[in-house]
Amino acid sequence: MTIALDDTLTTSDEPEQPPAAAKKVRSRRQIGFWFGVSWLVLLAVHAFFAEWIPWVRGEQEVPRVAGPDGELIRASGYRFGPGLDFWFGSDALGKDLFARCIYAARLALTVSIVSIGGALIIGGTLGMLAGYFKGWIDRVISVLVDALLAFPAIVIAALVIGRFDSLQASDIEFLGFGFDWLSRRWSVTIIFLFLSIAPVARIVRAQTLSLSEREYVLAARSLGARTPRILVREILPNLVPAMVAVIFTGVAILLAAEGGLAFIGYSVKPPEASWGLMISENRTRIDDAWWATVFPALMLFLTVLAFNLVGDRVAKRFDIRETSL
Amino acid sequence: MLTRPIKNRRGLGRTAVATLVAFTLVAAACGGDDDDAVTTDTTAPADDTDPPDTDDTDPPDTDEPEAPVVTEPPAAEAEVSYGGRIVVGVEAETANPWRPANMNCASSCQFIARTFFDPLVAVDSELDWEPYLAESIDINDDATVFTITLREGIDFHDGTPFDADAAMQNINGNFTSLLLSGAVKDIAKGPDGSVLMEKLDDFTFTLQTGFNGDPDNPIPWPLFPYYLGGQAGLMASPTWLDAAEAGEADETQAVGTGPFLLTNYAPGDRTTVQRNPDYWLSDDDGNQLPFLDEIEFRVIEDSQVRGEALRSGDLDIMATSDSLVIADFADDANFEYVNQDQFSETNYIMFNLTQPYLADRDVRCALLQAVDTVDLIEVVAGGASTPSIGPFTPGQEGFLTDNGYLGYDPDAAAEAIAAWTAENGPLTINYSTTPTVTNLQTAQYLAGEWGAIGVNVTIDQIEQSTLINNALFADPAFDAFGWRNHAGLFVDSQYFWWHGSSISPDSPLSLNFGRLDDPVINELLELSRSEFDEDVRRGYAEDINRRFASECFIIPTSQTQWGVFHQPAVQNIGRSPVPDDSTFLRDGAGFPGQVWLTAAFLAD
Amino acid sequence: MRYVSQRLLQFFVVFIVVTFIVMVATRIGSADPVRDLAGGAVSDQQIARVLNDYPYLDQSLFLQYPQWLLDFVTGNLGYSYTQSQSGLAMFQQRLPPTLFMGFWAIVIGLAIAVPVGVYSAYKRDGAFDRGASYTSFAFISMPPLVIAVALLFLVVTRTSLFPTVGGSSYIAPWDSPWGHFRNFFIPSLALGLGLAAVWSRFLRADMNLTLQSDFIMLAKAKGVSPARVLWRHALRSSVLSLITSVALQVSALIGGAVVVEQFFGPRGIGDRLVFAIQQNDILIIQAITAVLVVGVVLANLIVDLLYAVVDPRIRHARKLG
Repeated sequence: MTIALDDTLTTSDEPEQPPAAAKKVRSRRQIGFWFGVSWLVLLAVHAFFAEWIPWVRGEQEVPRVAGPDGELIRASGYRFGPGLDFWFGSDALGKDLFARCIYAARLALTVSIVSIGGALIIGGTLGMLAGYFKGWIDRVISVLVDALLAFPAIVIAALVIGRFDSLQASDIEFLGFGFDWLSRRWSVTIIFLFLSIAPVARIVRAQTLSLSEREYVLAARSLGARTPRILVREILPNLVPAMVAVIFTGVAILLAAEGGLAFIGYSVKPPEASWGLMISENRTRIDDAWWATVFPALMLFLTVLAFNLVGDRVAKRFDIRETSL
Repeated sequence: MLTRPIKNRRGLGRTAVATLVAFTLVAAACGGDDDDAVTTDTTAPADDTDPPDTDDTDPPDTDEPEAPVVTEPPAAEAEVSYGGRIVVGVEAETANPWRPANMNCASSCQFIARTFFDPLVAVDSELDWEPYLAESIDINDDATVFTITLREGIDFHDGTPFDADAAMQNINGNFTSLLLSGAVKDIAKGPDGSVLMEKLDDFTFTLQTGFNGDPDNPIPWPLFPYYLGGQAGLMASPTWLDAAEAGEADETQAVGTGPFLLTNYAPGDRTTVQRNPDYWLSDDDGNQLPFLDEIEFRVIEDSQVRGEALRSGDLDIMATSDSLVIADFADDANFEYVNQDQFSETNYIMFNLTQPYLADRDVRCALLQAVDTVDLIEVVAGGASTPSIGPFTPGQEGFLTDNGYLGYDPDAAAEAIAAWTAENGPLTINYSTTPTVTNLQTAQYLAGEWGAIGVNVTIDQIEQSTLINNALFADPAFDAFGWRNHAGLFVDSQYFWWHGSSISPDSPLSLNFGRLDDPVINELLELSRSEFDEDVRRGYAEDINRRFASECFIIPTSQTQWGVFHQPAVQNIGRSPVPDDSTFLRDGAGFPGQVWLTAAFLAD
Repeated sequence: MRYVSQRLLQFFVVFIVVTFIVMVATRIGSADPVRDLAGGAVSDQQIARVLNDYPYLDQSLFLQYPQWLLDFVTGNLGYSYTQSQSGLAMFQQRLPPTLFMGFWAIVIGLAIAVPVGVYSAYKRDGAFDRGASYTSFAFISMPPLVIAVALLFLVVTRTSLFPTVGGSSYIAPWDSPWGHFRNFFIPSLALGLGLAAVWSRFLRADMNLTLQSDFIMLAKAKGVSPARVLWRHALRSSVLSLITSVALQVSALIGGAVVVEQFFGPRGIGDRLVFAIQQNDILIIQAITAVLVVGVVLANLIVDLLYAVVDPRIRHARKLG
């Protein structure tokens, strides 16, 4: 996933277009962009206000609905396919898959956004330092970044989350604090944050490198401005567009990673809902109940796509090219 | 930072299976006519005069436990032919393979291990024990001394001769191993801790009983030979065992006397065995056994996937205890079916009774009353299995249709929990299960029901072999766990699972997973072990059943039914011969979910 | 040469750093590694045995590391006490399925990406180009898990050709080519489609740049046929960057393989890793992760060295970047 971040940014580069074609491409891109934005807004509103939205049932609710004879029955055993009662159908225990998908979105979005936010702070700082000071700081940070980039995300995430489970169950204390709070949600967030540091640092470093050669930075420096001031006042504001692009593309990648991780069983534990977990719970029954597998996968796909579309547009808009690879 | 051993809570992962945990570690097999166990070679004590024909079919004062059905396996439709390769789907990997003394042998392990190991004793289609690698077992009148005579001329796969020395070394190793010693604790041991055996000649030796291993306190144990049909009676090459112990041989490259040779073992994926051309047994027509060239056992945890793999022809045989899959296949004329629904396991929720809150009967009973098992089965298994009220299934000694089971009463449960939490604070139960679809659904269902009466529930998903290991050591993270156990006909088969003596202060490991130490049950088990009279023994078993119900030691959920499905081309399932006898080996006897493959062949 | 030695040095530093991180990661939350290794709650004999085999396990991490490293490079890849198996034997069993799957995924990826990328570049902004562009963008947004679900729903359940979910198993191509195809096609496709999307976009962009360069213009002016220009000149100059991209995907490929092995099978090293994590089998976890990560680092090293040998200019450019 870490590598994919760079790729998405790289491949979004296109050489300059002839004017007419460019216009057409732009308008097409607008469609994609607006699709992405509307999907994300719609999803975010549902996900974060699910409790107050009447058509979203509870995450663990086992609703009883009118059966063929009019009596109230449970929807267990995948009784209902997609329809008016259950938009996405019901699952084996009779829960509403639409509601589960929405709550899964909440989990995925929270985990990804918090991780990327944290990674921006840590990775951004490292990248700025490396790009601005160069020299040995750059070299040390670069080796660390190279090392971190070598880890296949899902592998290391599954490993560390498995170990975090043990840590949580253990009596180990660190500085007098135990690890009882280390739920799966925290584990996933922490490891995603950790894994996002390297690619973020790498991009920020490259941007800083080029920014620090710009005239206004050189001018500020020759005017005697102190380093922290240059970093904060001159460089940081100019990093914002790149960071926005990183947020969107990065969240897309983390969503995909969370899906994979949940699928192999290392995101939240049931009965909490996660797209990947729903796929793993239901895929063997795809012959009887395709909806229970297909809808979570579709949600995952559309959400990743939406983030990519928006991220792509932002990268285009600010002409961010990750050419340092 | 290092305080004490970490609790081994594992992550989840393997997507799917559909049974509760299987565990047939040392199952003493079932049998229909226990008197035979005593009267085969000797005379029963005079006062044990229960006529054989009344047993099981007409039990006194019970609610009609079903008589064990003795089925004659169908004769093969095709001419026997040699050669061919079959693929068998099993539900789980085995931990600590493959030394008989060490392996954590659940149902699928028994299936696999019996292709390369032979037991001393096996159970025939009449449900009696029959000498297998042994030629005979003589039992004295008190059922305290067992004289075992071995078949001559059998070699292990590595050429080591199978003789009294080899068998005694195996028995000593198995009977004193950390894992198995608890199951055979009433066999006498010497001062050095080794099993007291006397070698009479190169192929004969004796064993004797002794309460808790004490040779001066022999107790009658009429049903002991059945134990030699379990894991404790599997015979491995002493040469290999010694080398493995010394670290010079691969402990996964098992060397036995069985019909097949273990050729490849890929943990978590597959085990491959190939024909042993020098197998000691022929079928009744004089054909050298076995017929098949190669068998590959493939671990496929998810029963739905196993079913699909059978359907698509990727598997030739598949065993499952998933009632939905069984219902699916039972009517399918394209496949043949071995139904094992008697003397099978009970699915239940086991409590770790060392947890102070679970030692409290009120809490246990409240948890039991919170669960509507009929509804649970409806939701999780589409109503396809039979609810259970006690630790026994039909056909088993002690099975009752009315045992005082408390039943579903959520209001009473909520009340009890409210009273308890008012005094002790919030109650959190950690439910551990294997990460299979059905089991996870069960877990989620329980979390819902227990949550409704005011109990916090966390769910831990643990890979099966690890789950078994954690249960063996009563991992402190364990509160309640889904389990599938207690196959077998005699209550004596359950002795070591339930008796307090299985919990030894010296050993962290115990087969008494729930750490049940109830004086009433202990006494009933001891009485039943030494009881010759079947009706009296049944009475003890029924008392145990009632005690379970009144104390809520477990939450019984459903009766296990096993189905072994196979392609029609696989012939002779159920017709593996008993040596020197016209009967056949009983598939799944004490080890539900398993069939003998010694005589199986592939029709063209 | 200076570049090569510099790059090698960097490789060794990264190698040490990653393997050390892996070691630290496997020891998180392990108050007693010896006990964990022996299978969690086990007997004293078992613990004694583990300590006898790996006496360094109860030392500090910094003391453990060099001893583990020595074991690792001399081929002692740990031991699974719960499954009674050496790390080496485990790799022999479990690596081939994953390698085949990865290999076929790359083949599928290239087989789709090269024609699509080249034709897109050739007919730039044509209907095909636009279609390919949207499709590939969609596929880039499809994690292997989603592609696996799509393949399961659209292909596997609708034909009886392929083993169902979780049913694929390892069959070597030399044992049964058809069996191999049946078991490997769907999982490899699940991985290969994503790769194809990334590479076709990459190739198109790269070739667009090349097609505008002077030497192509010159060739065109000299009347070389368009097809020849495309295949002989433009593609050739893009091959190197494509190889880089392949190497860069190794890490993503491994992550995808873990998911796909759980989804369809065959049971390769990714499945074994998940199994080991479930069993808390820390020496095996460590061995597998280390081998995978070192594989990624090695792939990158090889690509860089290849560059240095083949094209000094690019090497210089990469250094600058």
